[in-house]
Amino acid sequence: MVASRAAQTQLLTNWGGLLFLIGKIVRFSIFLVFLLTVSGPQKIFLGYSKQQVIIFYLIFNLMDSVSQFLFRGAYLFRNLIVTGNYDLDLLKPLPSYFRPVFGWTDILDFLTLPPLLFYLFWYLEKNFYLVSIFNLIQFFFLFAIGLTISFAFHLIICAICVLTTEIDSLILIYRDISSMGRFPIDIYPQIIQDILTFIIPIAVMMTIPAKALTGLLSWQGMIIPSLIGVFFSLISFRFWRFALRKYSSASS
Amino acid sequence: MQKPIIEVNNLKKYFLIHKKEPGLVGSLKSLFDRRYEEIKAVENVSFSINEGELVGFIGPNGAGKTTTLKCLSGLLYPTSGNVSVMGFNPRKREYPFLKQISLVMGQKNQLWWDLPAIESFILNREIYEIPRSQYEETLAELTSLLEVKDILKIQVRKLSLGQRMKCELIASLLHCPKVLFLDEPTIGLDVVMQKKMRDFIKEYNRRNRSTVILTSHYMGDVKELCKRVIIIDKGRLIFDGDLAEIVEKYADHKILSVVFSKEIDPKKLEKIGTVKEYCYPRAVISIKREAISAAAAELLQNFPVADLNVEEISIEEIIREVFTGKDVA
Amino acid sequence: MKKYLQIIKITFQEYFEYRLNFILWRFRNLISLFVLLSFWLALFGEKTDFLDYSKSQILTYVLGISLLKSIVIASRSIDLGGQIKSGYLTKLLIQPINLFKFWFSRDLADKLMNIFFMIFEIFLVIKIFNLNLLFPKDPATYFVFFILVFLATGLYFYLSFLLSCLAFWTDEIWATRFLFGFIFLEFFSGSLFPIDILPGVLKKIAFCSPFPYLIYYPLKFWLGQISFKSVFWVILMEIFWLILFKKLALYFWEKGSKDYGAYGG
Repeated sequence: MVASRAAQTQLLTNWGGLLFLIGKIVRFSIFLVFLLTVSGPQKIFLGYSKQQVIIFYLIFNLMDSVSQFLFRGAYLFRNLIVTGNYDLDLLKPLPSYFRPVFGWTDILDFLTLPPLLFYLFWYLEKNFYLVSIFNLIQFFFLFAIGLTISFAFHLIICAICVLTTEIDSLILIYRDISSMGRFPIDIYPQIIQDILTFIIPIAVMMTIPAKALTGLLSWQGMIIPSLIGVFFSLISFRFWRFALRKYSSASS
Repeated sequence: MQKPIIEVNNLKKYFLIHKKEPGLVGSLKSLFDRRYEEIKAVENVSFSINEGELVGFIGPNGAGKTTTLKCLSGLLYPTSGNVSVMGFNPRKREYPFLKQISLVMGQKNQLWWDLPAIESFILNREIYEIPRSQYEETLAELTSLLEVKDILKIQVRKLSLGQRMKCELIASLLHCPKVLFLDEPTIGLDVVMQKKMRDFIKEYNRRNRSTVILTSHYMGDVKELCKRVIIIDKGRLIFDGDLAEIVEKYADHKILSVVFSKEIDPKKLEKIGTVKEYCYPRAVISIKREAISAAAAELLQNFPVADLNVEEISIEEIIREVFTGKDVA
Repeated sequence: MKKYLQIIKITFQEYFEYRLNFILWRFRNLISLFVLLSFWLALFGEKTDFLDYSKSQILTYVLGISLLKSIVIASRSIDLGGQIKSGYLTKLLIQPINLFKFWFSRDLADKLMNIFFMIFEIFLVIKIFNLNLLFPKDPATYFVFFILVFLATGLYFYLSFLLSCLAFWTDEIWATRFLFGFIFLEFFSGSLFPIDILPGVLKKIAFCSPFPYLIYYPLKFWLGQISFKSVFWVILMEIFWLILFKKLALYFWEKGSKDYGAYGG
């Protein structure tokens, strides 16, 4: 089961792409319907207003799609290492992390982006009247931070891949953990919230930008997420370089 | 006369292959308008093989060798024609039939990749329902013949290609198949390993009286192993008989290689035979079998010859000529 | 029979070679169980009833998903698709072995492995969340539940086998698997939430598919929300689906394997 899943990350052709696209849309829609259903007529739901919960869900999908679109390469990286083809990439005049992380962009996720953005803006328009310029700037800033963290995650996973080639499901575990951001993380027990903020900062990636967009975040609230973002990406680069040193000394 | 163990009559196998134009437009087009092309992989092939024979199948890539093997082992259904192996119809895939054959493909791996080879052997023991004593005996014999005793407990993926091929062979031979199909058994192996493999196959065939059919690119395999060869090209059988016969049939000339001590006019050489190569001081001339001694004499008399050698055309050469369309009726 | 036992054994051995991967795989399951539980607990908050389910009913349902996933869904026959594509299947076709039994043995090993770990996980989760679960009082319920799960296991086996068999004709095995074997399966079998909370049309579509028989119906019955009288019809329908998919799988298998390996190697 585990091993076979890695095989799914193959290149696709027309029909397959269409089926995947349908699958992604179905997943998105049914979850949305589910959220709308369980919220029912209630105003307050999971501690937030219904509209806010939907925004959290939309931002989660946006972050997820953009990350997959940009960093899909990480899903295929193990193969690159196992076959030894990565050695050829190291010879190229590009940053060493280029091929692992950016090596393959997922066009399917790109296709899902415009409708998703359109729906997001329409939903915001309809339910929150006008998002203030300040909130919008806040959001874009935090979304960028979120993407940085996402990049860092992918880089760390690639680094672990370099260190131990045994594991092929790590990226999927990351996806599972990140799926916790589908709902506002405040619903989880305090200890989990702390882990998701400071150790595996999914919250900073998904929940906090959404909070900014719905006007729930003061400007002071941006400081800690920014620090976490910077710190996390520094660590990931460090770790990557460490892994690479191990790799080149081992493979020669 | 003994009844043949394998009989093939007018075997035909056609495939439909779906053709796709390159690029995105081509992909879209192929969604709605699929074009198929019929490939005649095997066209009217007939032959029969007796028990204990070791037969080589040769032919260029895509000639239909593997397809024929697959029809014989029951993996493919013939488009038309009859195939009978040990009296069975292979396509029915009856267990008594499957228990008596084996197919080894040099490019494919049948062992369990993540486990030591011995585990695959044990599984095969159960699958083929081999009695334990017979299993132990065969295994001991095969491992000592192939010298692999100490690698049986190592994960297959950690073995070298040669070691793996040996284990593949053992796995396929544990149930003492009466008919053994070998598809490119020496592919990718180094020269030493190739030699060992050949010796083993020869020895195995001699000891067990099992019938072996082997396909190969390497003429060396065939030359050393098989008395009888079947040549297939573009799905058609073009030769079936003794290897020596080919030489007689097609090699109607010999090769004369000469080393001259002084430069000569190459035009004069043309009178003696077909000059294949002239690069002072060496010349290679092809001469009709019956004219060889006269030619040699003439050369020695009229040319400044330092050295002279008469050679048979190599099997490779003959086969190449056969395939490149020299008339072979 | 002995050969299939040996296959189960060898499958176990493979898992021991890939311990780490297997543990990570269970870890993933634990996370999704955790996410679902937290979500429902947060949704209920202080309430005891919600969408016609009581709190302990929903929690029982969510843990039940985990249990049934490792019994019904856990399988290896998914690999068949890849093996058809890679040409590895040749090896099996040339051996005196029944391919359905071969894959079922592999599945069985996988199921045993998953059930073993899942029991620990469920205990762990019950302890952490301090959960109150529902257990039926009537022993007959356990018996019928067993029948439902048994049939579901068979149904999923043939369904999955069928999806893999598509590899004989198309290159898009992962795409079809993704759509039918993951997305539709996840939502319509009820392995994220009970299907009956969905609005009308979606619910109808789900109930027209074979998926609800895999997880939803057995759990509904466990919760006592299907009477013994109506469970009879459920079982009948389940048998219908099972036979249908068995026939389909056999048909496509015969048709596909007949000319397997036609191309190239």
